[in-house]
Amino acid sequence: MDYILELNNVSRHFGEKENRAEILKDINLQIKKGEFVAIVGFSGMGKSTLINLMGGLLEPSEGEVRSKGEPVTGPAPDRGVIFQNYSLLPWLSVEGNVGLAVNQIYKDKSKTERQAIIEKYVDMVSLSPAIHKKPKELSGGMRQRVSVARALSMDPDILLMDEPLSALDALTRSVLQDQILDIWKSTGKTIVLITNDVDEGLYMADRIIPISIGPNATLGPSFEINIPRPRDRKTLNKNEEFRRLRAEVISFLNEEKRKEKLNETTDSNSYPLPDIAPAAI
Amino acid sequence: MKQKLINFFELTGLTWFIPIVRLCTGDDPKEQIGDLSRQIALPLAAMVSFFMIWSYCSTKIKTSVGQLPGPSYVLSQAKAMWATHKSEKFNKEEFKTNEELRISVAELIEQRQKTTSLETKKSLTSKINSIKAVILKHLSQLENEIKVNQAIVDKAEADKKAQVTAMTTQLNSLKKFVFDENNKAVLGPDGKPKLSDESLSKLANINNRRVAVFEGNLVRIYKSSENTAKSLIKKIEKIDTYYQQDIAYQAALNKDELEKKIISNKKKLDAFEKQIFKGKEYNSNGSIVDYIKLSITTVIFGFCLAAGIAIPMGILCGLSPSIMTALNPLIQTFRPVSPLAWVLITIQIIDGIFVGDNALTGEILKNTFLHAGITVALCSMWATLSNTALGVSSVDPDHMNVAKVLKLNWFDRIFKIVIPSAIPYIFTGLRITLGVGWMVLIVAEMMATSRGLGWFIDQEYQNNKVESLANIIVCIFIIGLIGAVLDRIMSVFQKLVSFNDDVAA
Repeated sequence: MDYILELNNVSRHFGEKENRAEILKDINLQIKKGEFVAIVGFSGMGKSTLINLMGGLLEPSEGEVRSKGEPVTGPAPDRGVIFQNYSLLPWLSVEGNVGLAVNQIYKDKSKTERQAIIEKYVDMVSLSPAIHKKPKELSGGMRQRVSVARALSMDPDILLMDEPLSALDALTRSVLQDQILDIWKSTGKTIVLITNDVDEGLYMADRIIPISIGPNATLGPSFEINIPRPRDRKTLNKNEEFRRLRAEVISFLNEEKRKEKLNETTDSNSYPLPDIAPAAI
Repeated sequence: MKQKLINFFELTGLTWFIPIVRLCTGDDPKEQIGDLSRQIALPLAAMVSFFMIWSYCSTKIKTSVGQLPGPSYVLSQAKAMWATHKSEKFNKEEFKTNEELRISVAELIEQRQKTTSLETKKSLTSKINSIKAVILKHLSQLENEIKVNQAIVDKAEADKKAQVTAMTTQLNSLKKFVFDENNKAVLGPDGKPKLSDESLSKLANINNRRVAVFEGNLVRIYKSSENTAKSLIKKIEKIDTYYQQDIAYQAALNKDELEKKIISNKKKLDAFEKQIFKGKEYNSNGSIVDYIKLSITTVIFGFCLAAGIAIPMGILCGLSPSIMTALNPLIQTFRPVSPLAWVLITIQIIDGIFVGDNALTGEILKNTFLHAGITVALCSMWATLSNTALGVSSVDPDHMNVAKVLKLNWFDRIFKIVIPSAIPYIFTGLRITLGVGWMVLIVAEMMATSRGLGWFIDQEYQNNKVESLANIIVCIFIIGLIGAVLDRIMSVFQKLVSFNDDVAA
């Protein structure tokens, strides 16, 4: 069966020789059409590198990335990327930022048609009242919604989200989670969500995959999330399946953390680091 | 409305108006008055103390041409410069009126010479004579003006006299003489008791006051205009006499006998007609306003030239590290070169280009404006160049990622992502360029003899008088004020185009 996105034995390193830093190693991932996959891991372990590889912004050092069966050679509008820091162009309004994508993708459509498309996607993320505002006049959540609208307006087959919500406060975060879910449901897009929040992954995705700690980070086992939708945030904590998956994912990540620590102590050159672990553990 | 006004004042840097706006719209008066006194009183206090120190120093410092002019003397000199400008304006207007009248007469005479139809000749002759009436009307106006202005001049002179007398009496009462150790007055070379330096400088200050420059000039200008108009009437009358004489001779029966007379009459007519045909150039060194206008035009020309060269080059340098590496040594070498060096070589190169081989025989380009403008551009473009290069090369990689994901082509990448994101840097560079350009301009004008403020300062310096020194000080204030205004304007632009809030005021 054809996957919408496939990563086969993908490795990526930066630098050469003594400066060579292995970020990702032997990544294997198959994503089906319409799937919502969450990849969860500690910060700074190559998750953004993984998104960049999928988006075609980076080329793998080894292995290959295939999109709809074809090898990926570079970025393409059918793989929309939503960056962690929004990456909005600060001199353009909301309309201009979305318009940049729309004008590029729908070159053959008339101006009024393009305007209608812009307005449709701005409305989809409920930003119509702020359509003429500049990014600096918007809150963090609104900026991320513009970023989502821009990615959606390219009408991509797959949306690659690089920690889209991690810079937001908890309340805005949950609102946006639901909004993204709504969009996913209504448009049927495939979504890859990279996050550092296990609960977020479990609440939103069909499948959650932990990523191990780098260097040489790789994907852990894939956990299917068989919790019926729509999922209820309030009762999710009591759900047996949720609690089991959460425990499994966290214990995988913890094991990784422990291994990393062992590695560190054997390395005599490294500096002693404080013993800090996420509160969830 | 209120917020709009406040935003406007913040944008333009006129922040001392903000408390006034707030006060007028009923904000807490105590806080606003405190703000106001800080924003206005402090600079005012600094200014007052500056003028006091200057005033004191001017009584102590002697320059090579005399006492250093104090603030009041400089102010009177500034007024005199303004008066010169006003009289200059009147002079020009009067010249223009007289020239226009001359031209209209000349045109009619030319037509009369060309036509053969007697009817047309007749009507043209009457037209020429009717212009006389226009000139006479102008003359009566002038007489009236002279009468009015004579009264003003007389009054101004009387005022000056009264002022000087009052100040002299006041000074006499405070006169300080120099005493020797025996407490005896020291005698000066003229046998009278010698005055102290301070008293002398004050006396000189009073005597140097220029009063009624403008009014005095007005009368002179009107009188000269009157003379020009009168001579025009005289010429028209003469021409008419000889013309009528010619007609009479032509109609006479004994035409052959009169041939000699006819020829001599024709010669006289021709001579006068030629005088009417000859145009006059308005000849004047101009006034301070002309210098200011030329200086601003020159600096804007130089600035545009600098921007036109530096921005595209900066974009190229920013886009391609290879070009940057290639050009960097050249840029670093030329950037610190003084305008004095640039202006001389610019003059020669420009003359070579525009005058060609004739430059070798000493012919020079009349357009000194170009010399100064190009020098300004050469000296000031570097800031924009390096800032543009920096802005273009430091485009946020995230923005470039967006361009990659959207698959923008090269052209769109440059014009939709790279240049817009470099615009704040470019404007920072342009602001520096304009500032440097304005500084360089004065030197460039001195050397290139382009008739702007720099040239004027040089002229005044050559004059070697206290009065000229005061004129130079006036110019320094004008230069400073214009420079500050230009910088404010650029800062407004800079704020308008910046999408980050962290632009220095």
